[in-house]
This record gives sequence, C-alpha cells and structure tokens, in this order.
Amino acid sequence: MITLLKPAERLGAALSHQEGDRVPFFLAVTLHPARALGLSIQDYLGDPEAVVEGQLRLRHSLGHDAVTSFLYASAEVEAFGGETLFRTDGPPNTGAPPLTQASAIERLRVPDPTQVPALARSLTVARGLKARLGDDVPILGGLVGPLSLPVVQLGFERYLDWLMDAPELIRQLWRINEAFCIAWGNAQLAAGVSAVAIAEPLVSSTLLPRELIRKEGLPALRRVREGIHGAVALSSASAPMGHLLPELSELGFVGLAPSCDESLAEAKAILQGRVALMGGLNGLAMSHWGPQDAEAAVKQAIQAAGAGGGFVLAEHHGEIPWCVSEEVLVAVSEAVRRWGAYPLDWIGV
Amino acid sequence: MNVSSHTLNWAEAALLDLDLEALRGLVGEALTTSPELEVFETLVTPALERIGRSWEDGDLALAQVYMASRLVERLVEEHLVAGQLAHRSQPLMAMAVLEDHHVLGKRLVLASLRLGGWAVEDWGVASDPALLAERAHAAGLGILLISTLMDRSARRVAEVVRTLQALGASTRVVVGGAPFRLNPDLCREVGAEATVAEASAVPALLASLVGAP
Repeated sequence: MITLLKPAERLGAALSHQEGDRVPFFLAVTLHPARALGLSIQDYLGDPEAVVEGQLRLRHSLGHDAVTSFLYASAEVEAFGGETLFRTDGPPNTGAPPLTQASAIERLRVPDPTQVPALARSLTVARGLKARLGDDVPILGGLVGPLSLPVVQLGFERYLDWLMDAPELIRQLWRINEAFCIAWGNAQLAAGVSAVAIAEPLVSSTLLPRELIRKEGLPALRRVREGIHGAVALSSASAPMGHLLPELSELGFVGLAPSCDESLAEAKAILQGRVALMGGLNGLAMSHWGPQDAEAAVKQAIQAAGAGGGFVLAEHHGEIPWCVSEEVLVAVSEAVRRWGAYPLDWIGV
Repeated sequence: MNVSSHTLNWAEAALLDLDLEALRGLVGEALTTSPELEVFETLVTPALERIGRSWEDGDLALAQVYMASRLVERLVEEHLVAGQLAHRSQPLMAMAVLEDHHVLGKRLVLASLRLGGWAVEDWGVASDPALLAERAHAAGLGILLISTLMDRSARRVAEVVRTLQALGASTRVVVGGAPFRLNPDLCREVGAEATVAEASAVPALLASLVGAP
C-alpha cells in the first residue's frame, strides 16, 4: 500500500535529497485567488483574510505542496517611500523610484518591516495561514534580495549610473538593504512562515558583472542567509545563474531556483545531494499552454531532475502570470500526480 | 571604410574598460580618412554590437552593455554638439516605455539609434495605450518603438496596434523588452511588426524596415 505523505513531509524528503511519495510541487499563485474569490486584485491583496482564504482555496483545487504569504514585491519598496500601482489584470507594479538623490541614501535608515502596512498585512496572512494549516503544509515567505532592491528603489538606470560614478553610495544602499532583508525575513519566520525565498535576479551575471557579484554580491547574500534564522531559498527570478551556480550552492541555501532556460539536469548534477533544485516551469510559456503542453513540460522537468529527490517542481520566476488559466494549473497538478510518483520507473523505459 | 578586426577589438576593449580617451583616439584616427557617420557605423556601432551579442550569449552583463552605451552616448553627444554627425533620411520615429517607470531599455535603444544617425523622439513613459496610439497618429509617425518590462504591459501593445488600425494610421510598431525576449511568440500575438533581443540590433532592424542601406 502506498502511504501518502503530508505536504511538509514530502517537501522535507525532497530537501533531504530523498524520494518521498512523489515529486513535490508549488505554483506561486499570488494573484489567481482574487479571481476565484470574485475580488479585484487590489481588494484581494489589501485584505489578509481574503488572501488566507484564497491561498487555501487554490491549495485545495491544485493540491500543491505549499502556500505563500507573499503579497507583491512592490510592498518592500513602500518601506523605502515608494508607491505601488495596482492593475486590474496583472501584478502590482512599483511607481516612480523613491530614492533619486544621493542625500536620500546618506540619510536612509533601515526601515522596520513590521511598521510598513503592506508588509504587516503579509505577516497577518502568515499568521492566518499558520493558524489554519499548522505544520502540515509549509508556508513560503518571500523577499527581494539586497542587490535587486535598488532596481526599484533607484530605477535600474540610476542604479547603474551610480554603480559607475558613485559606487560607495551603492555599497551603502546594499548594506542597508542587507539589514532590511534580514529583519524582514526574520519577521516572516516569527509570523509562522516555514521558509523564506529570496528573489535576487541581480545575482545573474547577465545583469551585473560576474566579478562584482563574486566580490560583493555573494558575500552579501551569505550574510543575509546567515542573518535569517530559518530555512532560506534563493531564486534568480528567471535570470540565469549560469557559471555562478556552484558558488551559489556554497552559501547555505536549502534550495536554489535558477532560470528554466538553463539545463535542469546540469543544475541537478551540480547541486546533487547538497542543495535542492527548484523550478522547471516557465510561467510566461504557460499562457500558451493547453493541458497537453502542461503535461509534457511537467514530464520533461521530472525526467531531468526528479530522480533521487532534491527537486521541487515550481515556476521559475516566482509568480504565475494572471493570464494563465486555472485549467492549465490543474493540468500541471494532474501531470505531477501522474508522472511524479516515486519511484520514477517510467524514466528510461 | 574598412576596419580591421584588430581595431574593432581595441574599440570593444575601450568600451568595456570605459576608456573614453582611447575611444576618442580610435575615432579621431578613423576620421582622418572617412566621414563621420561612416566611422560611427563601421567602428563604434560594430563594437557596441559585439558587446550586445556577448550579453545575449551570456558572456557579459547588462550593466556592462549599459555602461558601454553611456560612453558611446558621451562620444555621440560631443559630435552632435560639434554639429558634425549627420542624420539619415528616414520616416518620423518616436519611442516610449509602456506603463513602467524603469526606462533602462529605452535609453539603451536611443543611444544605439543616435549612434547610427537615426533621429528618434523620446516620448518618455506612456500609461495609456490608446492615447499613445492617438499621439503617434497625430504626429504622423512612421515607426513607433515601444519598450516594456512587465508581461502585462507587453500584452497591452495589442491595444496600441488596434487603436492605430482603427484610426487608419500607417504607423509601424516595433517592440522590445524582457517579455518579448522570453516569449518569442508575443510580438506576433500583440500584432507588432518586429522585435529584436538587444538594443544594438535595433538600428539594423530599422534599416531593414525602411529599406535603408
């Protein structure tokens, strides 16, 4: 008789590089519950009770192995004086960058995340999910990494201009961001999240020079990881980790989520037995999928990385686009059940 | 003008080292035998294109592409101020970012186009696709370049195209940005005419669209 594991046990097995009952999967449905509840995206994200209800509802319909208390990335920019622009048919976006003068950085202090209304709502969601799910279903928190926050704090253009003309200013901002990320990660753990995922696209050498990442970025990420007192995973939010993947795997993260444009099999070989590999699905491509495409993509990812545990099937950017139908998400879920059951005897047959 | 691969290597190295003096020296030497636009087209543009391709191949960072472009901008600015850099014969063009305050891509494209002698108006950030189309129609644009960052904004290019068609405008729409790079079908889906993966390829794309050499 096959014993079905609880989601926390299934994820625990994967993170311990063992095969549980099947490959665990998580679809970051941060917006879709609004549609399921008949609410606008803004109303949904503004109401912690609705988010708890929405996460539980999508967990029920998709049967994935985690929920999330993460609301939207722009909430973190609000901590630095930025604004969020809500849309009716897509994720909230950041408004104009809040830090436009060097003097603003010189005066900047580390914000207290618990005092930022949007972040406090996320903490309320975490507490609500924890109260409903206990320890059976992991709750994933999230934050934007210290190297990537300046893109929305300053604007990418100003970020690179200052990196070129005033690098000390950028280093000062990175230090403030490090402290903020640690405080925000620990606040989420205290509210009940099981693990924190850091979204750090600027750890990709397609965006910042590799040597700069090696010299300053990786040590900063290590400090953030060490400062957060719990399990931390790192996502490059669909940017390639490339040649830096082996070095990233030495920083102590429980899981790494590179771009799904990179070879899953090669990434799995690099991380084998040390760090779990997360990802394998492309959210933008999902908008074109029918159920058969979903099944093919799931099967391909599991074939590449599922054997031996150490793999969590997930969308590689960190958010399922609003335009992806729930039919496709259900097809992903069914395909995981069909092709992800351990042992993966069908591979190589 | 024939540029040796050796000279091109120097120009590329000067751009990556952010060595404006070295770049000025190479351009100045070439100007002793060739007209200015030709020097930019055969020396500086190919060096910048190489850097763009290296980014596409994953060998360089976007930050390096941007910094090299900024160096080229300075050089172009010096020559524009001196009134030496001629403009092409071309249709009226403008470029806007749709629904986003992050304008890095637009700046890269505009720098690349100025370098190639293309005159493109900078329309900043547009928040309403229909209004952008109406403005393009009213201005009599031949080509409208639209940069996007988010998938949602990229999909709203379809509204620009539909409005232009409803107005009977002949404006052609060229798109760019991460959503189009990551989803190669999206350009066709939104009804845009063309897209390219990186900024330094835009001048060649425009040349092919307008039939310029």
